[in-house]
Amino acid sequence: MTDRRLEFLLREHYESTVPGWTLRPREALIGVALGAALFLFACLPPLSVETKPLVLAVGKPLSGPELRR
Amino acid sequence: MTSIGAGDSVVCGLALVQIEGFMPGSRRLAARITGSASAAEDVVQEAFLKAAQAGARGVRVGHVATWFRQIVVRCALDHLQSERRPFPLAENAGEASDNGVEIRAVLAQLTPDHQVVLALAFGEGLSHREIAAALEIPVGTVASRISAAKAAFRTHWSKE
Repeated sequence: MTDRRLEFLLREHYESTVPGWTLRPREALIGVALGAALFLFACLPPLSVETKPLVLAVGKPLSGPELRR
Repeated sequence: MTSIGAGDSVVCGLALVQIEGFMPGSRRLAARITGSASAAEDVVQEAFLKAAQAGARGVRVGHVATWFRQIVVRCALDHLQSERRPFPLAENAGEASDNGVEIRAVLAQLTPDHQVVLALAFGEGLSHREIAAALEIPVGTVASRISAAKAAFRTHWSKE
């Protein structure tokens, strides 16, 4: 085996055996935190429960007993 | 000159943050030397621990990247020496010239010193001067060690 052939084989081998680490731990942590925040936001209950009486009241003046309720 | 020491926590912290930036490259280097991703992870963690301990002892270093590479190479060398086990060599290793597994098998037959110098020279593409700094040996020794490693590789390659 020639010197050039040997060096080519070694370079090719080392190039192909490198694991694909591109994500740093800090970046991974930020990714996980963002994912968790997004998940929690998506799981929040809809706000329409609280606003429903007001929506129903639109266009219709409330009477005294209704306001007290 | 960068100083890291117990009495200089700011500089020590900066050096360790700098080292964190070297982690992907260090993992790649360790993987090339050890031939295993999990071993590389252990090697880099051990190297980081040693760097932190050196910081606590007040070790003064010239260039943080070179210094940390020295630690990674030393840890990888220790790993190779402690975990030496024969890699199953295929019967036609010499013929299967493009098979990475066969090359890995031949590399595993070499001494740890030879494995490391080949990984640094042809895996990392370091100059002789950089290899000398990483291995803490004279520059003249690097050329002769690479030459010896190549000769050993050829011997094992043609055996089968």
